[in-house]
Amino acid sequence: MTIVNKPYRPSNGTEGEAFESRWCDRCAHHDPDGDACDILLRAHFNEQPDEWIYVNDTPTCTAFRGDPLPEPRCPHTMEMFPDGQD
Amino acid sequence: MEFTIERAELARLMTHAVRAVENRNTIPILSMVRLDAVFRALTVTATDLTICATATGAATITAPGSACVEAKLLADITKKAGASEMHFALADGWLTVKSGRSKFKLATLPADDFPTLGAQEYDAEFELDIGALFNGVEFAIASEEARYYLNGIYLAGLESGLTAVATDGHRLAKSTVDGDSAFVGVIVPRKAVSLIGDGMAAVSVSQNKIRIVSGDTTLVSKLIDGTYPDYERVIPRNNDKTVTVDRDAMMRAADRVVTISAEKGRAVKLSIVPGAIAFSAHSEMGEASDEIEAEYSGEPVEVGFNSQYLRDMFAALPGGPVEIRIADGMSPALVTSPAREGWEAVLMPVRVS
Repeated sequence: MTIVNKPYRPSNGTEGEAFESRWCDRCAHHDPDGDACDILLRAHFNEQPDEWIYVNDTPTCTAFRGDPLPEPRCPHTMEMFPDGQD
Repeated sequence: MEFTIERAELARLMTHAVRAVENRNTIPILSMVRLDAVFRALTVTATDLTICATATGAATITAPGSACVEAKLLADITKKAGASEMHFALADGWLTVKSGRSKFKLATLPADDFPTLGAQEYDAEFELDIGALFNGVEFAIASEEARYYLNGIYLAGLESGLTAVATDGHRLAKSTVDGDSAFVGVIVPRKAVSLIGDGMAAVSVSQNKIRIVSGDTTLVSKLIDGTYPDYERVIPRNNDKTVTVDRDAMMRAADRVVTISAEKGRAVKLSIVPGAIAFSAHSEMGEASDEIEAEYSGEPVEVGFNSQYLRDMFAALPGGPVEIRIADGMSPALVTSPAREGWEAVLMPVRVS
């Protein structure tokens, strides 16, 4: 069952790093050499950011501003070029 | 450097150039635009080291010169300026911008520090509405790190004409228009494709760059260095079952049945029988079915497609009849439209249970 607007918090540091890598590191709100993102700061201080929720069962930052992530590749569609044949 | 320019004209130049600037840059000058005030024109240039976008517009030049200034900042100031004219003056490394009673003083970097993509000789030059050609195939561009050579549109000057192809390995689109310019195929990266506007343009191609000049705007992009797959091999030429459907009816029905799922690319099953196509989809939340009229007189056949792929593909076509040629439920389908001559697309099926 799809979870709608359920808040998301990484359950450990590794998961947090993966989330930051997927969202924060590519986001215009986050400047590693300048001002830190307020949302990320709040999360680091153990607050639950309203912007971090599940969308289609995927942990998502709704404030993300940047190039959209590519859609996940459809796992059910057959391959046009099987491995090594393209 | 000192010049005056209409706000609307500068906004137009900035809109074209700024799209080349990346959102985040580790090299400060790449977040800037270069302004060149020469004779009666202002030229705005932006680059991300792969693409260089240039736009030139009329301006009143009091003192010619050049400077680099923060791109997004200038774009914002241009949008918000309160008067119809903007006056720029460079002194001691600071660019003063005045518009009405507003005044801004912006830091600059020397124009000589602004990177260029270098001079280039081109192997082929031709006139083409390259934006329109690319529009029909753009939806099939891949976004993959491993197969980076699929992350763009393959453009080739063939005997049959100028051909554009895009594929992500699940769907493929090919569009060919008349043209007698022969050149070895090149791969135009996705970002460059997204910056190309519609309308006739002078296109120049070499083995590592493409240049597109349209009116007073120029886009130069490096190309993807890779070998494009043999796409002709995967276009099915012997599919014997031809179904003709209305493009809008097909898109609406596919959209309706996948409402049952929050998953964007949920599979939709097409059960094709003489005179109709039945659509069905299911998810953990339930099931949905629909039906549209279709011209078909062969044996019943069932085939499943990713609904998003189906809608992307049909969205690239004008309204009206669309032909889908199928061999069986486990083979690629060939899609064509009488309203779009020279266009064809291949869609791989999903395994339908």
